[in-house]
Amino acid sequence: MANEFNNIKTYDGWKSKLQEILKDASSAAAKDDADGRQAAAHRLLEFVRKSNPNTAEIRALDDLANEAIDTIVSETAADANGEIARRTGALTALNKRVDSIAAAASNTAKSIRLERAHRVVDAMTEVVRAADDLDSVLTDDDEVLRRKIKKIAGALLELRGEVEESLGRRDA
Amino acid sequence: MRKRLWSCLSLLAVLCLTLAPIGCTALPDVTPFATSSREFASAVKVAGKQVREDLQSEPSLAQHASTFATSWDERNRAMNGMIQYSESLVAIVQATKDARTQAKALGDKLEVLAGAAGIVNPAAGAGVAVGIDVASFVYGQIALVRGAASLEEAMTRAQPVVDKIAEIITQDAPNLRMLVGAVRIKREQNLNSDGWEEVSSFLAGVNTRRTELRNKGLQALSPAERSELAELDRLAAPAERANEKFEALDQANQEKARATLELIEAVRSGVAKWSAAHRSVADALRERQPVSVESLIDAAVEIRDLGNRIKELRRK
Repeated sequence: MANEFNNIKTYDGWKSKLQEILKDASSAAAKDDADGRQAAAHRLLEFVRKSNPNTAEIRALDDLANEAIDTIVSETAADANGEIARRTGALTALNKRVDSIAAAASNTAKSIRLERAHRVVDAMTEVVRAADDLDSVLTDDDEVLRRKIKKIAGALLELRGEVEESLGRRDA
Repeated sequence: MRKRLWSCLSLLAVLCLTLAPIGCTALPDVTPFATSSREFASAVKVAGKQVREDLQSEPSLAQHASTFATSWDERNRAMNGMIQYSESLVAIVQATKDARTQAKALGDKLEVLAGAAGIVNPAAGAGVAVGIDVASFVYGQIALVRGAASLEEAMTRAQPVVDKIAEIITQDAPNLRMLVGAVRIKREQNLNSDGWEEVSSFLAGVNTRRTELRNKGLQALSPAERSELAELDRLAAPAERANEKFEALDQANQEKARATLELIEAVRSGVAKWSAAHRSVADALRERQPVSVESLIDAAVEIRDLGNRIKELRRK
């Protein structure tokens, strides 16, 4: 399969090809061209495989190519992570807004369901039942307390009327 | 009592006229948006996990994995927040639907309270029951107005947030591709170090010489050249088998990278549909138009398909 390395036969040819790829990689880096940088890295990987014979001089070129690959990989990962991290600050602020909107909407839903009114009435019912239990153990000597309990029951009846009136107007 | 009943019915008539702009109709179904939010949040999480695991698998990139994980956690938090938000929208719509029942239940509880207090309500009887029913209906209609207003307010406030999250995730996509590309390059370099470079360089040298000899034509080769060609073929055979193995490993790495890139692309295109679904409900509410349920369902189905595709890709 024909490629850019097929016709290179000498050390100078390999050296020249390596310089060409490194120049392209450097140019892509200067332009912040991530795709160009990665394309250069792929060419360097192939350079390492195709360069031959594996003499000490050629191996030295391969080492240079590998160092350049390491630099490209490391810079690519650092740049990508840096860009992602830069946007993270904005997200942190957004997350607080999302929480606030969700909490407000959730409270509205609870309010529409009359949850507070239900809780108040349930609590009042419990109080009345407790008062009734207390009344059953009172003696004739506790007339004052009994009157107070009846007064509380009367007040609760009035409150009931008000809650009923408020139905259809607002949450209690 | 009769007077009170009539006043309730009058109020009901006034309310129905007041509520005419929203037609006393139910609120739009926001469940498809909530569903697509859940599906999309899952897709964002899986994509981030995949990229982090890829980075961690390469020792020289492991330091970048933890930085990436910290950043991506914030995206997962944003999407979890959007799930909570979308569920609160569903809760408003559901509460509005249930409002009449809840109001009626409250009226019934008040009756129980009176009973528990041992107090005879002088107004007790059929009139009270009708009063509670009317009040419940009236409350249901008020809840509808409150629900519509709250839903519109929440969605209007959330739209810039949804847009920004979508914008951020769209901008993240090329950076994710860069990270996947870095891992892919590192894996290929590892194969070179594991022997592919030796095998490939040797084959490149052998093939150059074999091509030179073959280009002469077999008849034109001297006996020494013929035996050299035979020797080169003998030496090349095991190197070619080794090269094929390395190529297969490289192909597998490329497949993995391609699967992750597909996943990232699916997230990138999914985020646009997700934010569009939110906007369509918000617009419909603001303009009191019926929501295009079909487009919402389509978005949810597409994002659900994306989720299934992601699961499939992760099994590869």
